[in-house]
Amino acid sequence: MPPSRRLPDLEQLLGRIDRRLIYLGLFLITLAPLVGKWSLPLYVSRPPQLLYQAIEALPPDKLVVIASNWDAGSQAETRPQLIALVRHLIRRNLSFAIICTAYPTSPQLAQSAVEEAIRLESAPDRWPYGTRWVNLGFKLPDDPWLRSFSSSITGAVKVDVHNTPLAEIPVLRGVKRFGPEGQVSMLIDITGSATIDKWYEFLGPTKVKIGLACTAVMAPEQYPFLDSGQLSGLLTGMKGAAEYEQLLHAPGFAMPAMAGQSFAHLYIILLILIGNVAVLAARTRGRRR
Amino acid sequence: MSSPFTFEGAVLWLGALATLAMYSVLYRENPVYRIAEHVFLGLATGYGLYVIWRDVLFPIWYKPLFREHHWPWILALVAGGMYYTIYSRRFAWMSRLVMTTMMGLVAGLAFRKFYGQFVPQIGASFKPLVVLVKGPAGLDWPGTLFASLSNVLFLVCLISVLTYFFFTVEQRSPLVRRTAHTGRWLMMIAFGAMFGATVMARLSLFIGRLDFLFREWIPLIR
Repeated sequence: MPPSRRLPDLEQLLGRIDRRLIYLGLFLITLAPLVGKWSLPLYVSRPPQLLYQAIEALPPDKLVVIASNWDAGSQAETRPQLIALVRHLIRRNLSFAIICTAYPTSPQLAQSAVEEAIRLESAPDRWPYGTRWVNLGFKLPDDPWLRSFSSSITGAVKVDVHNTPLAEIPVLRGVKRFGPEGQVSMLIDITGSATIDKWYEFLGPTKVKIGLACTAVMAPEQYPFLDSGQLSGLLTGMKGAAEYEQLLHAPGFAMPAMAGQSFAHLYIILLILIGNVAVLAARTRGRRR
Repeated sequence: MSSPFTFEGAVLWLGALATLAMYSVLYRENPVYRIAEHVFLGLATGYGLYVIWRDVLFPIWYKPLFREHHWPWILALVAGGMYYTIYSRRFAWMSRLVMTTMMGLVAGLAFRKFYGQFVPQIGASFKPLVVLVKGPAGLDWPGTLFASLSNVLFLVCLISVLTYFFFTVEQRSPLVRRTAHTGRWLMMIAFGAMFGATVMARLSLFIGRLDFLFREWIPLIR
């Protein structure tokens, strides 16, 4: 066959595909399981189980502090994590305080997520604001403030997000310190930013339990901290939220969304395989010539 | 689909149109994407400035100084203002004063960070190479084997990666070179895992937007 009429190689064919068709494929393959309610099996890995067990073991008379450090850019991963964790705290009858140190927009987003969690647990009467939980708003986390916060919460924060003095908020009555000797048994950082490093630094010496729910990008770097015991448990992105929902037997946003995630991963793996086969075939042909 | 002529509907439509405008860049670069990008940046900057004033500058500095008359807070303004002398050749030395003070403070705090963040990791890296796992009927052999192998693998990874970063002497010995090479491969595997996690994170954000578009805007997902 003359060279001009020879069939194009697989590599050439793939190179001619418009990238927008690949995007369209990703769009359809991600959307289809969400619309059609297809699902793939989901198993719970060890890090979310550890976080679940850590919360189960908390004393009922102490407060949990949730550092809600996410904004609209990462809410698909972090919002379901916050909702699932708050639902667990409600079921365990543990009071909690929200503090935000990364994004000025976080307090409003956290407020709406906590209200949704309370609604999902049918607990608006049992969990009134101020009596069972409080939103302390946004604070600039410079080192002097963090040092002050780690030694005395009420010394570092004077008013809540609605400008109510902390002395008038029942849930914070008598609450001062972190750790086994203090009134706060655990800090859970739900974050889309590198805020956890500061908590290791300032709260590590207090021996308070630290849990982390972060975006998937950040998670691989956190496994050594889980291994060393500095973290009591870890949720990784949307998958972590889905696993936690499964542990609670309380499907929310993350469990159905993981179907779209899994199908999209399969699509990407398939594209990588096809691309590699084409390159290998081209190399083999080059060697033969 | 909700009407765009109510407040809730207008918010929903704005969110949906902004999402579509941002994704339109996947088709090609276009003015709608550019406008949406600039509107977003302007809004985020403006809102951020307002919140910094409301949550930081006003309660921490302005209120104590001008409302409660704690005059020493004026020093914060002086120190902050000294940073801006960097734009003057004559007074730039003043900016260096505050910068060096801050560098000293940060260097001091770095020791604390090392103690709180990394010292526990050094302790945790001392693992027994033989772990005896006991089961209900004596020694659990599969558990013992798995736990011991896990710790041996940890040690191999630790030594290999540390050897890769050992630059004090040239890596001439074949043993050192191969160990360092193994460390490099192990790091590549770790970077692959990080990249995979990044893909997962980006897809999660995409699914979040899809959920918004097709559950709230056009209710396809029920």
